[in-house]
Amino acid sequence: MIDNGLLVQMLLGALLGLSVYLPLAAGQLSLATPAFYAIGGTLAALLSTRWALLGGGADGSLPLPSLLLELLLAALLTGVLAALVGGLVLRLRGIYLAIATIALVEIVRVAILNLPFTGGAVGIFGIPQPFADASGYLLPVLGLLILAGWLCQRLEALPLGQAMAAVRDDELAAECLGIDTTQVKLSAFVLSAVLAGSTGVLAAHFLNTWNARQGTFDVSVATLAFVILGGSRTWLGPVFGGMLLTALPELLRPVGDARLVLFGLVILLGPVLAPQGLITPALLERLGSLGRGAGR
Amino acid sequence: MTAPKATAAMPLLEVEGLTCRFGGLTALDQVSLSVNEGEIFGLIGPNGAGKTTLFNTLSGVTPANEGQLRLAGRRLDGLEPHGINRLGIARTFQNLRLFESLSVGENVEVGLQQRLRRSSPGGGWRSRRRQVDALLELVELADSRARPAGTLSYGERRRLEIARALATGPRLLLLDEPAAGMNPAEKDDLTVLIRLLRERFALTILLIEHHVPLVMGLCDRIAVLNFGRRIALGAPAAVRRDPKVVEAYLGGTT
Repeated sequence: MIDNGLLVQMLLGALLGLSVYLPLAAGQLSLATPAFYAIGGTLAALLSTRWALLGGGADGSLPLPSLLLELLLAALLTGVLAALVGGLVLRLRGIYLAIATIALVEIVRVAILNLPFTGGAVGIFGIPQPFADASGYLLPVLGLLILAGWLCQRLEALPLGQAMAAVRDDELAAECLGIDTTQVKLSAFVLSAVLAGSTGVLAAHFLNTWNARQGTFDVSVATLAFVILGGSRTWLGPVFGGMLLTALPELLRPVGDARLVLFGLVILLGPVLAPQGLITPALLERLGSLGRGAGR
Repeated sequence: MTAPKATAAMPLLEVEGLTCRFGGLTALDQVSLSVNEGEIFGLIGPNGAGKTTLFNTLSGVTPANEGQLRLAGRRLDGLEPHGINRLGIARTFQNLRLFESLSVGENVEVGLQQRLRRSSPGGGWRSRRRQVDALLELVELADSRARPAGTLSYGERRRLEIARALATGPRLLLLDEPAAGMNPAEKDDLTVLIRLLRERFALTILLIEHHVPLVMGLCDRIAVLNFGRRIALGAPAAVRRDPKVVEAYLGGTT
């Protein structure tokens, strides 16, 4: 039922979920993920189709080092952009930050739609493929997800991660304890953008075409749903939520048009039945002690 | 006046003509005072007198409209709270502001961050466990290290806030109603703890407290605020007899 293509999409969903999770772990509701995702994808599409040096062959192939170079460049570009934009928008709090980041998504979407070199409404197509088929993408996408997950896990024990949690719990108290909260929020925002940008690079090659519709407000809402359904208190929540909500529309295909109703029901009932999300720290603790019990 | 044993001439904190307005309300009106190094200094006054506003301006949370604040001669105005903390002022909050989702130990670690980064970049973070243990030991929370801060009792929360503030390595500690909600035994313990902190960390302590016997017994000097003005300043015994203070606050009990 789940083929390799869908699996790659699920992993991409998990990555975008983590990108929304990171600012949220510092208490910041940012919906900017699709903007940086679109920028990363556009950069990859442009470079690999226009820049002969990257070695995009006439047969539609792309050498692996070129993909790595694209990832690096996208990470740099989105990181710098996020640092610049974040300095402005992170002065806003709560719902105002959310609105400002929606505006950013819209600006990027309109820019990609209208810039002379991004292909307008049709977008860029025939993006060279570093891998022959969908299964080839599993490794790099999974690799990026493992790297991101490891980073999120590691953060919990690092000063930055603790400062993020402190800002989320009580920003004023964190300030009064010598934490530069502006810098902490900006770091989380930049990490989130770099992750979204890198995900965009992989997605552009995987999808073979790229256009302005890849990064819209709809994606903001969908990725937020990943985090809310999966749970925002541990990084496994958004990973689970992203994979589940990406797979569900495909898995529900057999039930026909009713699948949209079912999909809506899941999004509606999730927060009602599990307000903290499906994966909570308490749940992980129970699972952990079960595992230890079984191991004995 | 029984002078504190620290060098009498050098004030650590100087407040000069501090004025703070919220719209039409003048919360602080030309307040001046100075706190000497090593002193335990009490700030009392009826509700709404401006005590917490003074703490908020000292910690950079609320900007002052007029006046000057100096810590060891260095101006504090215009600094953000984290900058002021790094200069050596730490505070606790009247309505407890712990990081509820973090553990007791992690709350203290957050306080340690900046200090460790200053003292030995990179490596300092590794010695944190020892320092956290020492601080938790001091406030008798060593056994609760791994508990979520949200599960602590009221008195324990107050003590954890003190440990967390101490972790930032302050010269001046601001305690906002540290005894609020404590029972008499806990209040006695707190008095002992505050004296111990002054000795152990060579601290200067400025505290707001409503419980008059505690303030009178603990403080070297006391300032009394009423409607944003400083109406008295001096040793506890003198303040207690001051007719203006008796009228405004103590209610003629002496």
